[in-house]
Amino acid sequence: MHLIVNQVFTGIVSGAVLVLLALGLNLIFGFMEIINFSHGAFFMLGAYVGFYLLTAFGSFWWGLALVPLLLLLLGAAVERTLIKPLYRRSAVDPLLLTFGLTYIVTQLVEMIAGKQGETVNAPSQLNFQLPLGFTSYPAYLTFVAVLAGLIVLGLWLLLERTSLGLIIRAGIRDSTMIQILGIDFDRFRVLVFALGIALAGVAGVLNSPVTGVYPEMGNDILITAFVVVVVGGMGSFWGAVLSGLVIGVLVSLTTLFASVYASIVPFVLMILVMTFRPRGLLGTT
Amino acid sequence: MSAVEAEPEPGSERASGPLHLLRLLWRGRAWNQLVLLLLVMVGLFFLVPDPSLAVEVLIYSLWAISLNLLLGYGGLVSFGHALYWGFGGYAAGLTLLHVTHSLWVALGASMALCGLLALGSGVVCLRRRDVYFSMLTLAFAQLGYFIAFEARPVTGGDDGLGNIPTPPLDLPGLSLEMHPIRDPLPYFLLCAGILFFAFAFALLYTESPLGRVLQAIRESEERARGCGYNTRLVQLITFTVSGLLAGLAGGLDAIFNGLEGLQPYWSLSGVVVIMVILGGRSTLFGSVLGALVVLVLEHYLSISFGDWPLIVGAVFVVCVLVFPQGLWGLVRLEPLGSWGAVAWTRRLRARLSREPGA
Amino acid sequence: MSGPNGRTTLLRCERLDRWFGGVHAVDGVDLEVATGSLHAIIGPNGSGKTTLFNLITGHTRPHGGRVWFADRDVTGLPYHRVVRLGIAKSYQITTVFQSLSVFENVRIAAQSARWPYTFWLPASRLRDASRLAEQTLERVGLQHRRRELAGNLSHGELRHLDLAIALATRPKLLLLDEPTAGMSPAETEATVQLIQDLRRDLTVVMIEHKMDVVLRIAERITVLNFGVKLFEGTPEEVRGHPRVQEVYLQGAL
Repeated sequence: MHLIVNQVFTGIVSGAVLVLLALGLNLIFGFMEIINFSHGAFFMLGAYVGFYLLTAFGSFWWGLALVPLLLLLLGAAVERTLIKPLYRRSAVDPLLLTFGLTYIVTQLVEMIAGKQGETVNAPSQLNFQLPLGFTSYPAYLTFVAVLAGLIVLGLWLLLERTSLGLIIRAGIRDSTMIQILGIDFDRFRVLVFALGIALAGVAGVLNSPVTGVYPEMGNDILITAFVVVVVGGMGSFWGAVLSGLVIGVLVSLTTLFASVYASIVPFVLMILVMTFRPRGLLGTT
Repeated sequence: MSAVEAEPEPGSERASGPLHLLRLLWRGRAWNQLVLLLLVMVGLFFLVPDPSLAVEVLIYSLWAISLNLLLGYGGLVSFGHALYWGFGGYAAGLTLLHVTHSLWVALGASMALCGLLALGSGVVCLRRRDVYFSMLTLAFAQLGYFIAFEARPVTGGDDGLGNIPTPPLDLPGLSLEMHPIRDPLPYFLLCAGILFFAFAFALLYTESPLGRVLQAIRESEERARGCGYNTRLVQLITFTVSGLLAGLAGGLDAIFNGLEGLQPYWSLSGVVVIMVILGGRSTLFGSVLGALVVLVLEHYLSISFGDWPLIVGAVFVVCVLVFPQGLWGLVRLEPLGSWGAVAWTRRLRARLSREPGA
Repeated sequence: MSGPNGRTTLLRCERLDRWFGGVHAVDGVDLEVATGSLHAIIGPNGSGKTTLFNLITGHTRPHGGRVWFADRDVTGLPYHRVVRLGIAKSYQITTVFQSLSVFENVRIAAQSARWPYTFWLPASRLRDASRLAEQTLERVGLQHRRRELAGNLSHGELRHLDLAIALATRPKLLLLDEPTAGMSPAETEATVQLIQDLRRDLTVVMIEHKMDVVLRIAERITVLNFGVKLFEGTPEEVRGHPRVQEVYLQGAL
């Protein structure tokens, strides 16, 4: 029994990481109508930057604090230099461009850090088992789930309770309208893109003690994050949260009972959802 | 844009150039690409010192062409084209290992099974448009990868399916033993012949009524329906044809190497997308060009510079940014061609039409 | 079936209903269009005109009521099937295949009747479709632009190309959604001439805001307001109907 509970927790933790990625993808897609194929690459980059900060400063917390800021800047730079020229073109081009970007980032990291990857230790402060009555659970993983939950909540408050969030939501609904209202749409595109990238970076750092860091880590998780977005309903905030957690837990439980099928579960779920509810669990159109 | 240059209106041919006769023969300039293809094949034969590189260029060209039908002509960006390539390879390999020693049966199995697989997965993938479609194809490829990985008794798992015997080349009145490694010439000729016919078929496909509707759907699906077309059916037929050709390419590759290796989607589906975009998505010949450039770069750079994919990736990004029409567009001096500006106005209009109104 | 004026009825809508959220966009609308007539639908913005078109073409499924076309129940058929049966629609916001040539745009529409899903012979071999495309381009006065990319046409030319695409499917019934929207007086006049010319072999239903155009060329006029059919009659009757004047002018302001 406690095995099942443990697996459910593990599922929630890996689901939480997926949710952070999926929300960033969703935000960028909703506001800019761009699928950011390089989302996984920035996840990986965040993890590596966190790892190097950890080696340099000897503390995990430096990485967790600085990576979002650094990736915010990097995201803004990428949007200005590479994505911006494509706004007047077909939706296919940004997809292809971010795909190429992934290729470059992955190769660069392989070149600099090597292909083999590194293990990352969880911060010593959280290196204990959290007693949970009849079972216990690693404190670090609990921390990941809680922090991810707080970030999701913060993001939701940002979108629902601030004027910035109002503009972003309006842009998601109809970008022509906010252009007509005379809002400097362009500036918000940088912001939204950078925000999405920063979320991916945080997810990378949080995930690094769990799986270690390796150049392919972004590519592996990106597809699952796509599946989360599609299953939850494109552009749906709570859809992404729900489907991320559901997929995390389902995969985790399948690993326990029939590990052979674990990696297939998200895709089967997605095919089922596409067949019976094409707009996704909580999608609108 | 191909649609204009290739528009074969009666009486529109001008008497100029050495290809005039051919123009008259085929009543359309698009067919000139077949001549270019023949020139490339001859060039590969005489100029490329490594015969197995030449064969790989032919096989990857076929694969890139199959993707270009979807990506360039249909505007459907499939990031999972490795699924059909891999499945075709397993189909050919398993047929040769367990069923028969006939080349044609093996390749036929690749095509037929991949066609069926594409039909089935296409039904699901085409339920959604645009980027959803891309994600779904990607997910299907990943699903296929995991299945192949876990089905070790059948596929050999991550060791790949090895020891695929090379069948003899059976032609009417002729049976030729083939040794791809020792003497790649017969296999080169086989692949060249298949590529030629597949290329001609793909040209016909893009010039056919259905192919034209496919391009029309890329421009405006709503209007294509308004012309009386079941647009999803048109896309599904194309998806199936594309998967079938990709399967053929995969089968040829597995037989050539005697091995169907299991590679993650990244190194495969990605490479073929790069080939198509780099070569130019508006013409089929661009795909041949893309396959040629990427493989030759890989061949020579991988010796001196281990991180050659970095260069390919950088060239790719520059290409998307500055030359969306790819190398072929560069040859034809079409930087920032009509596609981009036109697509932008289309999206603007689509947005405006979504406004609530009478 | 025979309708008004003793002519047969081509299109008949029976008590069509459609809600959007809480809005009753089309509310029990009956419509009968006689073969060969030019029927106009007018009404203020948001009165349900475009929704009514969408219900006829199968873009939107009605929540109630039926659509009959040439004595056939076409309710809920997908759009492309409706088109094949002989209903074509021109778009309020011009929708053409931008990166294809003008000629190709029209030929794609022209080939749909006989060669919809053919991939084993080149489109240029379809002489009947090519001829129909040529004729249609001539009819709308675009034959001199046939080799141009559709994306390069002017606004007025695009409206004509839009119309040509619709015509090339050889419809029995043509639905025009504001055919003169955004046109200069001269362009409007040319379009009016074109529509009157179309009437020789077509039944036309048009949504139009310009009252002078409607009153001049329409045979029958249906007035919608808030999804409800307010009145139907000849231009003279509509002109003399005080309530129509009031509602329409109010909404138009």
